[in-house]
Amino acid sequence: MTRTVLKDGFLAYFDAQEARINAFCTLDKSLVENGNSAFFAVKDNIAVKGMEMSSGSEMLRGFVSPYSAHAVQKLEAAGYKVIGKTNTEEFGLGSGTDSSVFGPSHNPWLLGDASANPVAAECGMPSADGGAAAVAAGLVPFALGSDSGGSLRRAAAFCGVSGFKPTQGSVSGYGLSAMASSMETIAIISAGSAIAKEVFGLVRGHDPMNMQSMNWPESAQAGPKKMAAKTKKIGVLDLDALCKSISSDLGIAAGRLLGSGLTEVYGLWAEKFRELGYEIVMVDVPAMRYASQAYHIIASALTSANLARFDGIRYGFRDKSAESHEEVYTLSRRYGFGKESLLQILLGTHVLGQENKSAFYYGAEKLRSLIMEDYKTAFAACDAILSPVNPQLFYGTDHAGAEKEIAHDFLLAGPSLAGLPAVVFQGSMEATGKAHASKMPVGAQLCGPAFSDELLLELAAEYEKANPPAHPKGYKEMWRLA
Amino acid sequence: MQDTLMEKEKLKELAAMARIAMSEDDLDSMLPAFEHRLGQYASILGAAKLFPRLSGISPACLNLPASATLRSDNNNNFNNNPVNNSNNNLVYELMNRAPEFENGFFTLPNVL
Repeated sequence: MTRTVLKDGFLAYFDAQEARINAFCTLDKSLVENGNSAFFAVKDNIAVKGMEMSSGSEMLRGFVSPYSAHAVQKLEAAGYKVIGKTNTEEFGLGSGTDSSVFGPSHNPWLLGDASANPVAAECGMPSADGGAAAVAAGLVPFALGSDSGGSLRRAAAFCGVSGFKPTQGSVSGYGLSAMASSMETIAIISAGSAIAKEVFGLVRGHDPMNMQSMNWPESAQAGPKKMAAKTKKIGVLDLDALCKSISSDLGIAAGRLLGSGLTEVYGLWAEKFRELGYEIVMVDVPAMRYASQAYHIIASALTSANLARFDGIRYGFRDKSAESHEEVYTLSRRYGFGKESLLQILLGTHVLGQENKSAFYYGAEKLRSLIMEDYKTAFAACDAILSPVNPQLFYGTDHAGAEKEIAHDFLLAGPSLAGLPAVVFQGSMEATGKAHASKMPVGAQLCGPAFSDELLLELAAEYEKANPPAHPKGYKEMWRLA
Repeated sequence: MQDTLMEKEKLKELAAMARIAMSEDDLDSMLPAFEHRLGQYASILGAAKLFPRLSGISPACLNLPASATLRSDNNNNFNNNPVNNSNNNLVYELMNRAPEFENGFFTLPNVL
C-alpha cells in the first residue's frame, strides 16, 4: 500500500493552495491534523457515507450519502481515508467546473483569477476539474473521479497529471451518480501513473451491487510480465487524415480541427517511446471519425433517462413555489438542474423519441459497433495506441468556435465507446501561443485492448520516469511516498 | 435522417415530456444550442450512412468485454445496501433525505 509521509507545514500549504484553486467542496482536514497520511480525495459525484454528495448540482445540494461507493469502501479497507470531495461539472457533464454550483475550480498552472487570465482564455478552458487541480497542486497523491467520454482524461491533461480510465466494468460503478451508464466508470487522477496502478489494484473487482462489474481475469494479471518478454509495439494514428475526414463529415473547412504544431509534438512523443525501446507502427481506426457524435448522442440519451429520477419528491431539490404535484416535478427539475443538464435531457428525450430513435440512437450504437471492430483490428497490429488528447495542443486554442464543443472529443470518446482502458499523462510542455511566453502541459494518451490496464500504466510510468513531469509555479513537494 | 430544424413549439413539447417547466425565454435561449448540437449529430450520422461497412452491422448496446456476473443468493452480499441492511434504519435514512415528509409519508401539494 502506498503511504505518504507529510512534511512540516503541509496544512498551511494546503490551505494556501486551496484558497487559490477552490478544488474542494467538502473537506475533513482532521485526518491530516491527526497524522493520518494515507488519504485521498473523491469527486463529488461519488458517494462517501456521511459526506455531502451534490454532484455539483443545485438538485443534490445538501444531500448526504447514506453509503459509500464500492471503490471508496475498498480503499478505506486498505487503510486510506477520504480527505474531502472535489468539485465537478454538474453531474460530471464536462471536463471543468464551469457549471458547478460551488463555482469554478482553477488550474494551478494558471495563476490568479483564471477567468481573467489570457493564457487560460487562449487554452480554451478557464476552469479545471477539482480532483485534477488538487493533484496538480500537490494537495493529494490521488483522487477518484469519473470518466464517461474522456472528461477525467482531458482534465488530467489540462492540469499535467495522470488520468486513468479503467476497462469498462473492472471497477464497480456502485455509488457513482449515474449519467452515461454504459460508458462511465470510476477513474483515477494521480500524481503519476505508478500511483494509479497501485490504486487500481485495490479498487478493481466484482461487486455484487453492480451487475456491470466483473472479476479481474487471471490472464490479465500476467499481461505485463508476458508483454515484457517481447518488443512492444506502440501504434500511432494518421491524425491529419482523421481530422480531414471529420471536417468533411461536419461540412467545415478542411483540416480545421487539427491544430498547428500538434503533429510535430505527437511525433516527438513517439520518438521518446522509440528511444525507450518500443517499436512504433502506423495503425488505423477509421471509424473513430464518428466517435465524438456517437458518444454524445448515446450520452444524452442515457443522461435523460438517468436524470429522470430527480422529481423533487424522494430526495434532492424541491421548488417551494409548486402548487400541484405536476409542478413539483416540472418546477423542481427546471430550477434544480443547470443549463447543460437541461440541454442534455432535452437532446436525450429527442433522440429517444419514437420518430428519431432508429436514426439517432440506434444509428449511434451501430457506429459504436464499427468503432469496437476497428479497435480490435488495430490491436492485432500493436499493443497500445499513442495519441494526443485533443486534436490541438490546447483545448480550443486555434478555433474557439462552437464545433469545439463536441467535435474535439473523438480521441477521448473512442476508448469510452469501446469500453477500453486509457491513460493520459504529461507528454511535454509546450508554449501556449505567440502572444504569451507561458508553457502549459500537453497530455498524451495510451489506449489498449480490454484488460491491458496494467500494461498501459506501466508504459506511462516508464515514460514519466524518463521524462519527469513538470509542476506548476508555486508547487511544493510536501509529501513523498514511503 | 430526421429534420434537425427545431421549432420552439417542438422544443416545448420535449420539455413537457421531460417534465421541465420552461418559459418562453428559456426556450428561446435553449433553441440555438439545441439546434447546433442536433445539427452535428445529423451531419455525422448522414455522412456515416455512406461508410461502406455500416450496412448490416448491429447496434452495440453494451461494450463490456465479458458477460455480467450473477451474484450469489446470499444476504451478505448486500451489507452496503441500505435496502437490505436493517442496521441502516432504512425508513429513517430515506425519509430524512426527502424534501418534505410527514408521518412516514412523502408529502405533495393536494391533488384535489
